[in-house]
Amino acid sequence: MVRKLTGVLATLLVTSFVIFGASYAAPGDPVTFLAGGKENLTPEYLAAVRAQYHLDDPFLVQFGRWLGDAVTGDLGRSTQYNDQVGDLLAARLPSTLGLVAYAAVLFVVFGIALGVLAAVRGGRTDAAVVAGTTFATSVPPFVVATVLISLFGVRLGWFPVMGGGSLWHLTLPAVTLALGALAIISRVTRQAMVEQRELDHVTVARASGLSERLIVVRHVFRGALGPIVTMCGLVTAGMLAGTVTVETAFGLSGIGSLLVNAINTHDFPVTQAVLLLMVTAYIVVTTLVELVQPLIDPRARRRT
Amino acid sequence: MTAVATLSPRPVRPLGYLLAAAFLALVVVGAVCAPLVTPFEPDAVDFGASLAPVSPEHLLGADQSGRDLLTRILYGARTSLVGPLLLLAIASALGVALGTLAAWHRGWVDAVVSRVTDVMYAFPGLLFVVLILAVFGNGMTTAVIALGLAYAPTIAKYTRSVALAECGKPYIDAYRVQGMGGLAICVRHLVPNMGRSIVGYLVVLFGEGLMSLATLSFLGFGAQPPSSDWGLMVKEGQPAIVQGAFLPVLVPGAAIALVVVSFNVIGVRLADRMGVRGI
Amino acid sequence: MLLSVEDLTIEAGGRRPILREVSLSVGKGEVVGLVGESGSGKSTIARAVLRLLPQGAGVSGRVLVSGDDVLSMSPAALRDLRAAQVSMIYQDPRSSLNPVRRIGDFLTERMVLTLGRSKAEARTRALELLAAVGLRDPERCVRQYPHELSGGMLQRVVIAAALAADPALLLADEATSALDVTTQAETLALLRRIQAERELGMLFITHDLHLAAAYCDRVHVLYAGAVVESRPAKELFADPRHPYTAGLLACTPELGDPRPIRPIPGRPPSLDDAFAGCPFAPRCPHATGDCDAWQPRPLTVAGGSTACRLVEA
Repeated sequence: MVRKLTGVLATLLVTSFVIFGASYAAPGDPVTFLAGGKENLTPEYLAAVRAQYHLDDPFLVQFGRWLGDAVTGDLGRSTQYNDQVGDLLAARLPSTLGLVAYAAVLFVVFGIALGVLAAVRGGRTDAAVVAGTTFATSVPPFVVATVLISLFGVRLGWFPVMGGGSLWHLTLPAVTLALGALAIISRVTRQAMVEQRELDHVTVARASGLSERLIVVRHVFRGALGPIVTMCGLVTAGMLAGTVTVETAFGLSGIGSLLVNAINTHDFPVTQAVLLLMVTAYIVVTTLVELVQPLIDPRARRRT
Repeated sequence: MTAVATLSPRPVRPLGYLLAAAFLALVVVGAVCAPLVTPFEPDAVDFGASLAPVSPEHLLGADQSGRDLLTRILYGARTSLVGPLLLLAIASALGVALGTLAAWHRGWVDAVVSRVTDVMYAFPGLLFVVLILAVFGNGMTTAVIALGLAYAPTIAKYTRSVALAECGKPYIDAYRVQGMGGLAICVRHLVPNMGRSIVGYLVVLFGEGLMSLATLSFLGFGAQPPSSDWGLMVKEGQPAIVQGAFLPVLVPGAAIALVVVSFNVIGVRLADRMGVRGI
Repeated sequence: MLLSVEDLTIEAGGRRPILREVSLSVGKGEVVGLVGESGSGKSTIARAVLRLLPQGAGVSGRVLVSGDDVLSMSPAALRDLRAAQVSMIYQDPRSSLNPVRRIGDFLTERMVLTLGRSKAEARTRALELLAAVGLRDPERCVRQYPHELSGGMLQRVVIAAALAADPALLLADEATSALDVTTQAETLALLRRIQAERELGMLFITHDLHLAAAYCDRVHVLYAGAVVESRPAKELFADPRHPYTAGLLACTPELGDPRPIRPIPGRPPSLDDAFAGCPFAPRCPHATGDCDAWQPRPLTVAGGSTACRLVEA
């Protein structure tokens, strides 16, 4: 447990170091780079950037101070918006989290349902689900987004085309974000259920007169729950990164589209902050998933 | 959408495989012979034909600037297919070397390779690539190199597992006993023997690489105008959706989807045949 | 008769049927042995009693439990039969229990969900049963997971679960084969005690003819899906009439027995070996040319029957 947490902290430290150190890898003077690479920079402004990044200190000290600032919520000032980066994030995070939560609900519910359906029904249903999910993983989200906008937004007019706010606005983006995840989850569910179904204890349960429905729920699905929950967790963790494409495609204002704008406008403090946030969230969620595992599978308890 | 309609579940039936192969061959031939196939230039602006529908003249319609979509798709296939090819070349050169080295040396080399891999895997999705692009600036070259770097650990991991299995075979020991050097054994015997399963794996990765690269172009990080990269075409066609013209996004979108599906269908079959593991 | 299998034939795509015209019966309070090498079809018989048939199997004949044909009964009646009348004990207790559920769940599940008892009632009964099969701390046991118990303890749990519904018939499919020798003896003694106390009918399936002869009232010897000898245990052991039975007895070493060990030559037949005549003929030391053409049928001998034409000659 302690070892696991130290490992996670080490990973966090190294990744943040990579994100911080990236500015030094950029061609040219880090000051100009951090200031947005613009030409007409006043000496005062450059000095401010120097102070913000403690550029006159030794490299490792700079990193330490930057990390300390980041942990305490001071993420620097955006070169583009001239705002505190922390404020920018705080303003946009809710809509992104809402989108991720909406998509997570969609892919968990429908992904598991489809997987169970494919495993239980077999035959044509199974073939259709497998074919459908193979196709779904072959279409990049931004293409799905444009198709959904064309069809449901413009042609049929069921959903607003751009902008955000309501649940209604978020539906098409959430579907887009959920589609690939849904395909993965339904495949994992199907596979785990098929494997569980072959186990002896399921036959034993059948031989004790349990109805098929109860066998599927209490034994097959229960046994398959471990891999399903793990995968749901991992996919949800990766979704924050997925919002980059989806928010851009739907013109939503969240941290994903913030990252894209920051990069296209050379706003490195914002880029660093969003990356740091996404990577941290990803590592934390994947660690949580591992910690939840013993609750699902008692056999894993001994090892922790 | 014929290739989609016949898409069959695993095990992939030969019909799907043949259709996929035929479709890819068509795309490649079209891309190579683009100037012979279409009378238009990919960048030829013709505002008279702005958002033209499907017609004998513009078989797949035209975009906002009246550029012929079929022409742009065919020329765009060049970037859209060569890009993933290059990034896989970079990734596999690095990945195979590192993976083989890790499996051959074990010990600290292995540990270092797997630590580096862990750090890169801590960045979800394309974020590692995005970081590189943020530092070195947007553009197709940077995008391809960055993706190549990002894919290297995946290939290294796979190569390592294949190489470990291969190193356990007696013939490697036999060469060692004969006094052959480690490098010579790796380059002349180990890598060629792993070739089949690595190539199978690369075919499976190709579709993913194409999607990633197209996504970067769509975000504006990859190909820059006036390129007719498919991802960029979708980005540029997006404003036309609101005007009710779907062709500028649907045509490149469908091209990406169909090519990726085709590669996946072929990849799965090749993977089965060549004994690619863990997919 | 509690269990009566009549001319049961099961085909599942091999070149010969898994079971060919098998007939046997188990009465109340009787222990009947079913002996054969792996692949002889002995487990298939036990499974057929619960209608757990192989996928796409062709079945003919009848399997009667208390007079009702298992093979043709309604799904509801089948569930009732599985839940209340017949219980099975399996070879590997570790794989018979769902690894992610507690022992208590395993015991109470069938009582609550198929027999419709209340949870409290089922729990009390589970504790009683665990005590009855000799587990020391039942209260603790019901809260444990399968991986926390030893194989012998798990088999006791499985036996306890089998008794949960007060069945009339017990199917013990290699119930002790996966256990180590001392646990094996304890488990056998336990099964025997429970069987005697409750006057259960038991079909005892094993590959060990010596064990079956010592443990059972009557023994059926199975070869390539057909019963080759069927007689009271003592008589079968003292005077085997089928060459295969004799071969099985001869290939186990015994303390103080000066006879050399003679393994049966050849290998057990697979489902892809089809036979025109007696299936044992290729491995039989007494076989003559006529054996290859003789269709085996049960011939009456002292106390039972055997399917060898040489007893007539």
